[in-house]
Amino acid sequence: MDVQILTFIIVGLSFALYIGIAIWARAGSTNEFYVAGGGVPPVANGMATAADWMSAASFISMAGIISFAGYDGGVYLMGWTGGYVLLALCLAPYLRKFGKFTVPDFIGDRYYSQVARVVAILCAIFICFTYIAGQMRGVGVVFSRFLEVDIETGVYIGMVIVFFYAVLGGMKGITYTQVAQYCVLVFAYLVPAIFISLMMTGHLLPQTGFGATLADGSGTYLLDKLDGLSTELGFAQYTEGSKSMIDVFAITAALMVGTAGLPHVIVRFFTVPRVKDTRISAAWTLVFIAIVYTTAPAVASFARVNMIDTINGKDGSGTVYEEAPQWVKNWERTGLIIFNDKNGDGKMQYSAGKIDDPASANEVKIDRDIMVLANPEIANLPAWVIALVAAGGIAAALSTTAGLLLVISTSVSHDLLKRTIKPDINDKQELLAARLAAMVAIGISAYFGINPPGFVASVVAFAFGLAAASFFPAIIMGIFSKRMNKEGAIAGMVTGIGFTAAYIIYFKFVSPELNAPANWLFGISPEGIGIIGMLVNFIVAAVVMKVTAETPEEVKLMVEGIRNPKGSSAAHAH
Amino acid sequence: MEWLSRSLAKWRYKHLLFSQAELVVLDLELTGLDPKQHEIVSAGWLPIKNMRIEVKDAQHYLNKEVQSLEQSPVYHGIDSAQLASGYSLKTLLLALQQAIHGNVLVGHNVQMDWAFLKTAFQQFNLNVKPALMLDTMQIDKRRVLKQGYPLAQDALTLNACRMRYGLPLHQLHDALGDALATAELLLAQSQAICLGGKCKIADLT
Amino acid sequence: MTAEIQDIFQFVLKQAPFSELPESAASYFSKHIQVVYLSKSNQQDWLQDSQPNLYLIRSGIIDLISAKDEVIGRMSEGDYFGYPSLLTGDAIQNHIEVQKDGLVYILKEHDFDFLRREYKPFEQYFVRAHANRLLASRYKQQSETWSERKISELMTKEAVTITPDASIRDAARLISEHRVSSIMITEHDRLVGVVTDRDLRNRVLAQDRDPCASLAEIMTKKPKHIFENNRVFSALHLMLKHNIHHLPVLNEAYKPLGMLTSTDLLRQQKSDPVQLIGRIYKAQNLLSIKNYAQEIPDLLRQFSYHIEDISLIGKLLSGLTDALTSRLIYLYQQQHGAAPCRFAWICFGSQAREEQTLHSDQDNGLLLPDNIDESAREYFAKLGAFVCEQLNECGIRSCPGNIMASNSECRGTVAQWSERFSRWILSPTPKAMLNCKIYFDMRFIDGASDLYAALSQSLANISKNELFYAAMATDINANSVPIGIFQQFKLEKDKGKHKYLDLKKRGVAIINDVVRLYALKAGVARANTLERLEALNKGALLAKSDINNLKDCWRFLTQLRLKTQINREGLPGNCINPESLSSLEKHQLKEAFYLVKQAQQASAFKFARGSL
Repeated sequence: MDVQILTFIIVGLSFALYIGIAIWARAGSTNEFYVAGGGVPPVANGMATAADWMSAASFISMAGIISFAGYDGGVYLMGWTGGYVLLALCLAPYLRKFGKFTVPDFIGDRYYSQVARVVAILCAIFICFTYIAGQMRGVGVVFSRFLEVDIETGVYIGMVIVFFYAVLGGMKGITYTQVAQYCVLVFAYLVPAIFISLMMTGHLLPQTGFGATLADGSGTYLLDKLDGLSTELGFAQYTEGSKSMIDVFAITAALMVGTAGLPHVIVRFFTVPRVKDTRISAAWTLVFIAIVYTTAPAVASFARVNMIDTINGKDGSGTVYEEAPQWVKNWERTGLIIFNDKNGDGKMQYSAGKIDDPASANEVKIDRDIMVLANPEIANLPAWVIALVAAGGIAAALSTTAGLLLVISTSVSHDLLKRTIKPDINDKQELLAARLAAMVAIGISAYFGINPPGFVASVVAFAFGLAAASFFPAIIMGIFSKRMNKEGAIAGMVTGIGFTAAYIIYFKFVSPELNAPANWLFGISPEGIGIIGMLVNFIVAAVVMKVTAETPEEVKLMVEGIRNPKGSSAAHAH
Repeated sequence: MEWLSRSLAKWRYKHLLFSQAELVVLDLELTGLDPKQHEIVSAGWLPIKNMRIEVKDAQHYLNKEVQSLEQSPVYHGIDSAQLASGYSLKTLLLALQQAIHGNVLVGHNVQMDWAFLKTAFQQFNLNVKPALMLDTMQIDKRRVLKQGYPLAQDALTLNACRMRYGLPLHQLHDALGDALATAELLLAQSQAICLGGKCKIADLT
Repeated sequence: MTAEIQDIFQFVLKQAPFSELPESAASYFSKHIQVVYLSKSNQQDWLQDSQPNLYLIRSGIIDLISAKDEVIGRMSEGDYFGYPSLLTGDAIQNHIEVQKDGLVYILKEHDFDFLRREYKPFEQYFVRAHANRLLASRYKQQSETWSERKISELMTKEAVTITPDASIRDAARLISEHRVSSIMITEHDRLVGVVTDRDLRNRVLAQDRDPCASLAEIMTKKPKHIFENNRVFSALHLMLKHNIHHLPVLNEAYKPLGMLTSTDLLRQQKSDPVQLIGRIYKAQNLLSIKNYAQEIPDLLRQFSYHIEDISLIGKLLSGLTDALTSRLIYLYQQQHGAAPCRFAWICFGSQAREEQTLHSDQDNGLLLPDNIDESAREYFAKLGAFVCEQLNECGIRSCPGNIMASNSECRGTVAQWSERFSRWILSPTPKAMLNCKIYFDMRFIDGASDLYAALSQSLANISKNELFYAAMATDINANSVPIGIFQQFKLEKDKGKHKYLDLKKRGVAIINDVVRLYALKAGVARANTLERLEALNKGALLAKSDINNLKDCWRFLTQLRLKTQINREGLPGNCINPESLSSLEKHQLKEAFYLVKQAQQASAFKFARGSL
């Protein structure tokens, strides 16, 4: 059977599975057995959170970025993992104790101010938009390849499916559906990785294969070969970074602290009934994330070696275009691989540089986002593995996008419309507004999905950066400083997110040609600028706080209540 | 020249709009499937005018001369008292002649019914020829085959066809009930094929 | 000769109003119709002025649209349309939009008129349907049931007033002059007291008081009162609760307008639960309490035939249970000595919500002061055991979940109860949520009300937790409303293969749950669902139209639910087979379920951020 039909079947089956589970869970959750059993076990919750956590960016793009950027790509890995730990250990327990369900509500109450709340809501919406845009790109890549259409159509198709899934399907939030999504996702990620690891290094585990010698009998280490290939083709050495230390640090830190502000993940910590279970399930989540994240560098390296070998040929002189493997043709159709035979020898040659630059010998442009998806094809794996990867990519995107869309639609229709602008609307209108908001959100993100300001992972990195610059300081100061007042928090958030957004927009949209280390502030790239935004936020907040009125007494008491480990709730302070 | 005028009538009918045509929907209750051997137990028919089934003009005739019915009076759920209130086969056929001669005759598997009627009319020397016959079973058979589905067994029973158009399940009662069920089916079919009113009879044949 | 077609006849026979009419009516109808097939492409051909017809839907789904392009209603099998112009002769204004193609039976004006002349109920049915539609279109604010009527419509007597410095004799004269049984005492047009003829007997004659003395000495000061705009059932409820027979009616400015007596109400309701409650409150021994309790089911049955507002039945039963409980507590103290310290007897669940049925079981508890000692605890353990056991013998069954004052977990101090609640709130497991649904509907019955006030204050504080609201909203949404995407019923099946709809679990309970959630959020300290909704009217949490919708749905479903208790066909309790409903009821039921579903979704949306 050909790949396309298999993809339809496997993606279809995975959808049937999600829907089936949703129906089963609805019928089952009211019965006595469920009630007696105390709900969802922490392992399942851990998997569900992992599914929420791992987006199309993690699944599709992270390995791609590592594959192309080598060592530098590792920042995403470190940042996201660290962010999760930070969130689970340092923030979630306090926020839970505060008894607020969303970050804007926390901020609104902690800073006793409607304005602060609205600012926080606007930040949340903005961040979610950016995040979804990255996801839409990922979904588009999957669909464009497997339906053999161009990326634009792929994004449109993804748009429709995501809308139905998130807004009309009502499946979001059913833990077991997300458990299934995680299973599909991890299976789809590991199977090709294991296959390729066995083929290339003889190791079953990709994680060990990554550091092992090649199975071709040459005795060279995989990474040595990759380093050799990279330098040979004019790239930086694979295991050495080209980014400056400060930039690596900034990006990692921005990703880490930005995580705290991502609304759809925090909610997961609140939906586990018992505090003890929250910790256990957070630990499980970390395990489940680690399974994928530790595989990513291996996948990246395998893919890179395989790709260069296939395009440039074993001898490095290039493969004749007419004889190019099928996957090159397939991806060319989507517009994500472009071949420009500059020297007219009919062979493809891949090296550093731009393909429209006559000075460079590079003739092939490869979009990084295709690496994970194309990997099984490049390695000549069976068709069902390729189909499986598509299902995995969609699973990763759906679970995250659905969560984010709900955040946007509830923020717009409930927080902004019902609670702020027009309190007299009825339920029907509120639900309608939510659906409209979701539609608009998808529409806008689809636009950015088609015209992305960067690769999936970098677009997502912007979302984290914005979150880092706005929410993180407000939350931290809200919990750990009794004296922080509303004026300080609002001023901090506004300047933080404003500065960060301006920096990103300037380098990515206004003057992309200036986007080079030489022009960056402190040598920090737009991906990492969130951390400076965060510092700006802290400083502005502290300064404004000094010159404005003091925090009311009851708020101080409330803050003490959160930090007091004995009191199980703020209310006990009464 | 009779065939000529008949074929002319047929042509005219075929080009008539469904909404303007007068149709008679008929169902017979039979003792078996062989016109030579089996008999007509009852006949029910009703007209469709302007795409409305005229229930008040419905006719139902019981043939009190049925031989096999005498041996087994509860056959077809008809008891002897009802049978006594029936009519002679001739009365039945005369009434039917009035209704269908030169008109459009509709039935579910109408060829079968017509085979019985032809034999019976000949027996009484009656010259009855409908101008045109429409078969709701054939209509559905063509539609199903056209969509490329294989025909399952039982896929063309009256109820199976009705289900395809979302019509309520019909209890098989008697000839008249079945005639009504067939008439309803035809309305649904005409709607599905060519939006009813703009339908020509020819579109349905 | 016109033959009758069984298929049509059988169908028509099952539809209202033919199901109530002689068969000849259905027969006439089924012989005189035309059968047509309605679809999008011919929908404009129907409801024409030139030929007014009655239409009866046999299959398919059709929307009725007004001239202003508003959807009046969605109609399906068994629904009629086209009758308003047949009744009034007015021009047809509505048109239809076919949602799902189907068969429709048409009856011509001439034949409709024949049936209308021949069968009065036939005409009444359509006149009523027409009236209902008119009413519905003007948003049903005015319900016809008497208990919903305003006090001012019922009050017959004008206010008979006198000043407090008048003598007792003056008052007695005035009472007999006006042939009333009570008099209101006013000062500057404001009510300050009430004197009834019984007071004249008990407080004057029996005590040898001087008739020339000032009226102020004997009057009941600060009497319970009601406002003219209140509904009759509030009045009934007040009388039941406080065991009084006279209720002064005031206008908004506290000016007395008249007196409402229990006789005024009795005139309306014919049966006399007020008196039964009164008798229970006076019972002197266990035996008479039990005898009175035996009268309850019969009384209720009579009563339920006379009233249309079903919420009253629940109020009555709860009132009766309250009375039984109070009296049992009194009798226990008579026998075993007064309680060693203050206490409050509280109830939960359906009794607290005042929607008890004859099948409801006990949900109650004891609230004790924080400084209680062991011997006192011992006393209350025995009190709890006694009251619960006797209630059980009075026909209010013991709670299978052991939520009873006889259980030591349900006898706690204010701090212990608060601790219990906060455990559930902070660890909202499914089991905790189940408890919350019962315990958060809480009402004070007897004892020291300040203890109860302390507990509800404490609860109001600890329940202010949005994670808890979110958990509740998620829990509410785990229960599904039995209506599909295509507006069809989703029936459940039991082992005996009965198909049914569970009106309590999938309807009333969801409304109760949703309203409880809003009430907690808004800090409404009521337990009754309708009262909670009324109180929610003041805030902006829920729109006015949603509140009205929920009230209507709640009443409708409760009404149907009570019907199932009277006539059922071997179905589980509170369940109904929709086939046994008239087409109008079926339609209303669908509408009600749809609204419940919407409220449920919206709650998930507002409180749990759409984790649907």
